[in-house]
Amino acid sequence: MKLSKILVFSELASALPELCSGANTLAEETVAVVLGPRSAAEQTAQYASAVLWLGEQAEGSMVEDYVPALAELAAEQAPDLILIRSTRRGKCVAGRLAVRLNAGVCSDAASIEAVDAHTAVVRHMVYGGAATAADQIKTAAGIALVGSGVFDAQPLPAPGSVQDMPKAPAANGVVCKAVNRKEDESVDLGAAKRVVSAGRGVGSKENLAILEALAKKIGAEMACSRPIAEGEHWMAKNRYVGVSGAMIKPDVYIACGISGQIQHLVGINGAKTVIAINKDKNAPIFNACDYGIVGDLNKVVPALTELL
Amino acid sequence: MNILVCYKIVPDEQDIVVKPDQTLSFDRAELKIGQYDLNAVEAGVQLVEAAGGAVTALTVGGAEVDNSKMKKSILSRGPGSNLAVKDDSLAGADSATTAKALAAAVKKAGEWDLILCGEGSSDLYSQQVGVQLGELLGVPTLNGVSAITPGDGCVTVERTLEDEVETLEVRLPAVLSVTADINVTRVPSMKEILGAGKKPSTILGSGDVELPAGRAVETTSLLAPAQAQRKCVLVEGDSDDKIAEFCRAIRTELQ
Repeated sequence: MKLSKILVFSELASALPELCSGANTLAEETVAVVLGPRSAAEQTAQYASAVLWLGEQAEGSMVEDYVPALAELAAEQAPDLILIRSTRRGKCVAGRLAVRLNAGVCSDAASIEAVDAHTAVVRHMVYGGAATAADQIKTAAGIALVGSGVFDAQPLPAPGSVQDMPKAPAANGVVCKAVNRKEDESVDLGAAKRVVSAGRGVGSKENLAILEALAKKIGAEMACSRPIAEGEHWMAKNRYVGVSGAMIKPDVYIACGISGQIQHLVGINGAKTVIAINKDKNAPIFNACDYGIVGDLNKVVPALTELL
Repeated sequence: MNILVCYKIVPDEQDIVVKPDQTLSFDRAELKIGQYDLNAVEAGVQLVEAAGGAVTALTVGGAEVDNSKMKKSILSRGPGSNLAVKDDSLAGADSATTAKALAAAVKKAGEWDLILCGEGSSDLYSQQVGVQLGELLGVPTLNGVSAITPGDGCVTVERTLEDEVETLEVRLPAVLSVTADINVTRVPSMKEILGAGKKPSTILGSGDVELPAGRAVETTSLLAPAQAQRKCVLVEGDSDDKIAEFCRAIRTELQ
């Protein structure tokens, strides 16, 4: 079963191949909407039978300022589903579009299926990873926010058409004063084969050094639980593992001082081997690991660094 | 500045039990205030402490919104009053339904300059209600707000996206969704907990506000994901011998 038509939008040109390819498997017709250089529209046409090019983003405007234009296009196109990459900006665009189109929204889709020519069911995690919900969109148009890796990019046998559809931005009481690139070094935890991860049990930022020594010894990336990145700020946010952070699949994951809340465990479900070090024998991580040691990580981690 | 802070009462996910058929039981789940909503409450209280004004807590939902422990819990964190809309149709509602109900409730909340929401609810985490509420009310709306500085008829906010941080001037009134790391939420003192019982709380129903009919999204199944099977080989103790034993066990995994 396929939907009739899917509209695809993302402020990230790099996300469009995956989203369009997913749309091609789900619907008879894929229409991509591109804001940015014409080259991005032409590139996207490798993956979508029709591309509507809104033009370059106007100087001083925000992507969000194109929500009225997107809503207008969506009303004309009348798609069954709109796919948007689930970035923060994508979530803002989706929410505002949803109101204008009276569309139901499903966030962070893990999979999508068509149940008839106009109705999609979206599966996504809820309750901090404790469950997967199957949500059926009841409105005429629906919106699904999709992260990277859900679909594989697959070019079409022949490129689609690019149609110029110039649109002007419409600001909504928000003026952009400055944009600063983040200085966090980029890290691809999803690709790491070995990961050493820190939880609250590490005790202090200084104490991360003993974990870093172990990581260096065994050639592992450093990661952490959410409180370490968001509560304590000991590590960058792009290093936290869990349902709202990185979902990883290393060969070996070593959890140091991590109690093992469900939100965290979901993020390491794809790990081949989970090793846990924690001083609390009752920590849930010990029910979700392959090898565990109940002990003081200040003693265990340096000893392992030496012995391994 | 008059601020409304939105919150959701949710089951504590730690108490959710997975039944043998993979369905969930909430029977033993205690209620709690969504953890990300507490950041919105704290942000509102801090703004009012700095610039003056009042904070009103706002929620919509089923019977849980009338729970006296939850009312005390939210009011002990600083808001001066609580306003809730209670209707069975709002229990477990999707983001569009929740946003519409909140928009209806806002009309009963008096004069306001700013509405704050959390990053997402801690049960469904769709991260949609704040932006949808702002759009429904026809005011500027943003998510990812990680700092707020009050100005004259506007606020200057820092908005943290995946790779960049924006500095934005937002005209008031506005609806902002704040990040989980905008602040560290406070733990209420005994005095604040006792004082919370004396603060006003109003519960409205379908007769008082116009509630949305039907839902935009319907959940057709809710099942626990299959968890990876683990060996659970445990070494108890951190003597040199025990660490050596543990090291032997894991060494093969690291070859």
